[in-house]
Amino acid sequence: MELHPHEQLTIGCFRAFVTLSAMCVLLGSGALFFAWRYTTPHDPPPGYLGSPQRGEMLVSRYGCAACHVMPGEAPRGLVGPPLSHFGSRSYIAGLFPNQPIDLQQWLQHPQSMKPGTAMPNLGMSERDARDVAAYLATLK
Amino acid sequence: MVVASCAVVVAGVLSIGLDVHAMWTVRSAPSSDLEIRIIRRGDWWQLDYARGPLFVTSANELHLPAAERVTLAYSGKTPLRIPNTICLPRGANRCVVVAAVPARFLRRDLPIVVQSRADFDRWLANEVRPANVSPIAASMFRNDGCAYCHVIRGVVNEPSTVAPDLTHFASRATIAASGLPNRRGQLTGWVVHSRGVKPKSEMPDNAMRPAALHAVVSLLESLH
Repeated sequence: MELHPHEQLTIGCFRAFVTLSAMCVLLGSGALFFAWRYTTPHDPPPGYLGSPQRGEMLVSRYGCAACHVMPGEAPRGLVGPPLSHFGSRSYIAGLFPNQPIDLQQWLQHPQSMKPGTAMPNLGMSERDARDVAAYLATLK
Repeated sequence: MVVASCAVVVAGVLSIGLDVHAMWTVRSAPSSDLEIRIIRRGDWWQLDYARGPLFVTSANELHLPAAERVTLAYSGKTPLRIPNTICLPRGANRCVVVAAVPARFLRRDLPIVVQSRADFDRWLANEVRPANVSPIAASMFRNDGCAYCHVIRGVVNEPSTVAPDLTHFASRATIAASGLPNRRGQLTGWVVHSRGVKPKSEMPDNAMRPAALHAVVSLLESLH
């Protein structure tokens, strides 16, 4: 069937619109993916063995933000020190060097490392402590 | 045009059908003499359960037996919206609902737990019991200021309208009438500085000695 010129024009416009929209969606999602890939820490900092992404998830599970200011968490806890730049700190709890082993031990057993501290034992497993430590170390 | 009017008609018939279905469900469900009074107090909820001679005050987590007629009495103009139920009016500020299946509805401020009749009865029987608190913890609760506003039945028995009843606090899934999970980290921060968790909270700060803080948290965790 022969199409009128104005019909051909309409169809052409429609095709161009669909193609352009598809390209925009593809490019946009690609850009978003790369932004996500290169702005969120995926590899643990040197010396840390846990997964920072899982650690970040655990931070909201264990409720760290109820006492500590954490980047990107809703409650703004002022009970303990802010952890926004914890990865750049020299000491943990004013007593221990900020190193992977000490940090994991601190997360698991604050009460036996510094008896009388206000930070409670949270019943954190070894794996969870490794992941949370790796996440905290990314907060430069 | 035709499509739009058809859609309107279908939507109308569907919504009327659903209403009729809900009303039929409410009428055909077995009745119970359970009445729950829901009272909004400041930024939390007081929940009174009455069944015959039995009466108990709880807070912040609404429990309902499934597939049973329950009378809700509420303060304020609008009845509480409970998912998958309709509130059939019974006089001023009262209505009857039937919750369909056992389920958990995570409303942000008031979680709703719909249970089977057996589970609900077990929960209610536990709720009626006073808490089992050691004498040391009881005197701490009375003397450290908690008892000015809160009640743990078995320790302090005069009801309070200022702050939620804590008699079976540990059996609730959330704290602070804010959807925050009832775990030790969240709870510790809440006890010390509640406004860090919920800016409009009316609970004052409690920067007590850490040993006392851990004792208070352990007491709260023991209130099953």
